[in-house]
Amino acid sequence: MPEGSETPAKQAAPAPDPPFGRARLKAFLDGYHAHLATRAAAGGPVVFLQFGGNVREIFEALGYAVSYPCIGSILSGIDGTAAEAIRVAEDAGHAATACALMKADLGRRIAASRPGRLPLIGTGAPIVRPSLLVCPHAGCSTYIKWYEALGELTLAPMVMLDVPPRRTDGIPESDVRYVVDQLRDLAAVAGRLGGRRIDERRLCAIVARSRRAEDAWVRFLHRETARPAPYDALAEGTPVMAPVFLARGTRACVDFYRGLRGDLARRRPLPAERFRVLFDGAPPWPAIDGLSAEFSRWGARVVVSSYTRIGGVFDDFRHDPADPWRSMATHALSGWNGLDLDLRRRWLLRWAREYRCDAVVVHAVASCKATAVGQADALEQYRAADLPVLLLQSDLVDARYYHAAPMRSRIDAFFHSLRARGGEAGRAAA
Amino acid sequence: MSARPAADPLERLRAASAERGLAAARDWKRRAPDRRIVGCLPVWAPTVLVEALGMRAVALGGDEQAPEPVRADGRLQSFVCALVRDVLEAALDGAYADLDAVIVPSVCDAARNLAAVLGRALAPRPVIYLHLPQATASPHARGYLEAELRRAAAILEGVAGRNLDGAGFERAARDADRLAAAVRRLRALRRERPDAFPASDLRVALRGAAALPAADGAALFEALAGRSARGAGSRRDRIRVRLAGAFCEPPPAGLLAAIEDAGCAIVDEDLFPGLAFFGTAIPGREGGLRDPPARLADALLGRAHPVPCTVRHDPRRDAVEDVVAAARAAAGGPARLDAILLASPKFCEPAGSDAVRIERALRASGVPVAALSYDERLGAFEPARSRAEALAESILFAPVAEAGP
Repeated sequence: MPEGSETPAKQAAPAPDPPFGRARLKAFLDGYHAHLATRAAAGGPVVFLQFGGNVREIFEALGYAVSYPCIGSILSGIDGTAAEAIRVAEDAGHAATACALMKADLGRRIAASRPGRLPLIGTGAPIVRPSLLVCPHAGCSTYIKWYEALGELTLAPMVMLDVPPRRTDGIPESDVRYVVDQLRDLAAVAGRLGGRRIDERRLCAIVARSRRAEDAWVRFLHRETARPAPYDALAEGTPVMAPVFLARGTRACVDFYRGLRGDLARRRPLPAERFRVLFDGAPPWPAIDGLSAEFSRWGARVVVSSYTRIGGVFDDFRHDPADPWRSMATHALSGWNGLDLDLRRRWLLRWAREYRCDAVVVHAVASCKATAVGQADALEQYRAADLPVLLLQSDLVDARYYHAAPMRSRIDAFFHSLRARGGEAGRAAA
Repeated sequence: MSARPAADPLERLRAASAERGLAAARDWKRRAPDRRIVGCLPVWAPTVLVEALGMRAVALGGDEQAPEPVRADGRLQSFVCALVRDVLEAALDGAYADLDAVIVPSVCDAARNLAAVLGRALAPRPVIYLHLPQATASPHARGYLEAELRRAAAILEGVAGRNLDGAGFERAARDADRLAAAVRRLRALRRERPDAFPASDLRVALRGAAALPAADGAALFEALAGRSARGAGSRRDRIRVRLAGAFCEPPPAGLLAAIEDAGCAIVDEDLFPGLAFFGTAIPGREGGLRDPPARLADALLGRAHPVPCTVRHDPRRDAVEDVVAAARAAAGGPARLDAILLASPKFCEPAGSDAVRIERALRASGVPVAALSYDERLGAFEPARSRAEALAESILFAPVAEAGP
């Protein structure tokens, strides 16, 4: 711990209020899960999607309830039940080093299918049986193995949605055409299964609502360019990204972000931050509040996070009701994990400038192969841009990898050194 | 290297894999100023386009003698496979100085990001990331792959300094098919008589062929097949196993030898599946497809591959179901298969995930199965030997079920 009167604990008292947006988000998720469970119980069609390649507008138009296996995993990471689910998956043969998000989901389902055992439920996320599995090969190859296992567990038919990675600023026409063609086929298959054909007018209306939600979401994100930033983009800003990914295209989603804007206007201003931080990588969900508190001890506030763009970089993209199929394809082709590393790097450096960041914290996810290669190059590029960078490592939902004491030591050493160098606010002023 | 069969084809192939498989290619390159070498990562790359342009394709990775990846380890997270580590190490320590381009096919997320890292490390030489469609049964995938191969071909033409022509492609396609056929023939022979050519030697031979022009590899494999067909081989009392999971990072030859010594004859495996083109062939011009990318796309997606691969999702023929079905079908049949040995490279998510499904299905069917993990630089084989021994003994000395009254 730093010594003397400048100990971080004395500088910045933790905010007395509960994390911003949590109550509204809980109400939203309760409603979302209740709707999903009710629809599934009534025998309505249910589709499984993921954040990558998330073409939920099609299924909204076809009257499907949409479930995201990764959400159950994340929520179980937050409420602590992921540990048991991961143990169940590892008992079933999955490696300790395999994707924890996948293991948490498969473990929940395996446990729920066993007679005499209560299902492991992550913060109310129901375990429902899918009518259709749509496997997005979009920025994550683990999805394929995850969905192949889900196919065995649920016996539901599976359609592969193959989304090429984005390697250049512009997207080649052949890539867009390839995805559009697959989406039209997918809609036809889902329509036959669900007993309803797609209504183009209804689809356009849904896509228009998606656009309104995206507008509101981006406005919320960009509020953080202000100094002081009005909220903590890690512990407060990251969880509230859920609606724009889970419920885009619905009125409830638009209403959520309108309500959030009102909440923010009524919020008491936060104390000025000493360090503005860009957070790169997925957060450690089991310890997201704890990690945020460690930063707060130093007066550091995360003002922008790459993870809030995981399901779409809406900074420069909107769904277009005038051309819904093409815009859904473009959205799928623009997911964060599908971007070439250099494109990602350019976005991160742009955000560092726009949000006037003093430092970067990179959180490496131990079990994620999609981020395991290339991080060292990223660190070099931050340093080359004169951005001090701190590398932390734990996991997305597997709490076994989060060690609070070493984490605190690294954070203390980093901000101590940054403060000694006069790093605070210098960049922001510039 | 000439296409004439060598006196000792296995030794020729072993020599070809020296120095990461680059020594022979380097000598070839230095004999003329316009010669180019293209490195190719697993599992399948369009080497036929490389050869059609008069260049040499050399497989990267799969090297048992590779040095410790000291530099690469400093740049990667902990859970990354040995193959990615070795390739990055080679790029950082200058071992790829003679490469003029690299092709990285879409295999897994680590490989995808590796392409970007290699692009920086090897700049200004092109690193071509090739997206192989996973919607293999979609009617739209072929057109996409054709465009993707056309893009790769255009970059390769720039490296070669010449354009792809029909005659060059015909020759390269013929050589690739000949190599694939020769590999298949040796595999078929091994299924009959695994003692005639050990799996450990097959691993060496495949690695060597992956570093040679297809015509040279084909000639050497034809010689190997001929010699193995004539040879007696020892007849030992061993169980017959299929090795699954080694499709990308191959296990060390020493590990395979230890398994075979422990009483498991490896009669089938999935080593270097791209070299034998997944059991398929490039369609001829008579099929109406004249354009090389179109013909390659048709070969890759036109039908389910006879040899499915873990990193290619194909609802027409699932890689896991293929292993399980083969094990069930072969039990007690003439091409007997006693057990499946799941050999997954450490940190390989696709192989590890498939292993879970295969093991569960086989145990439910009563087919013996054992699992082990490795990395290509593994030097201690005793744990694997013990596991293989236990598997062999559990089958060889299993109590015979008593006949009814």
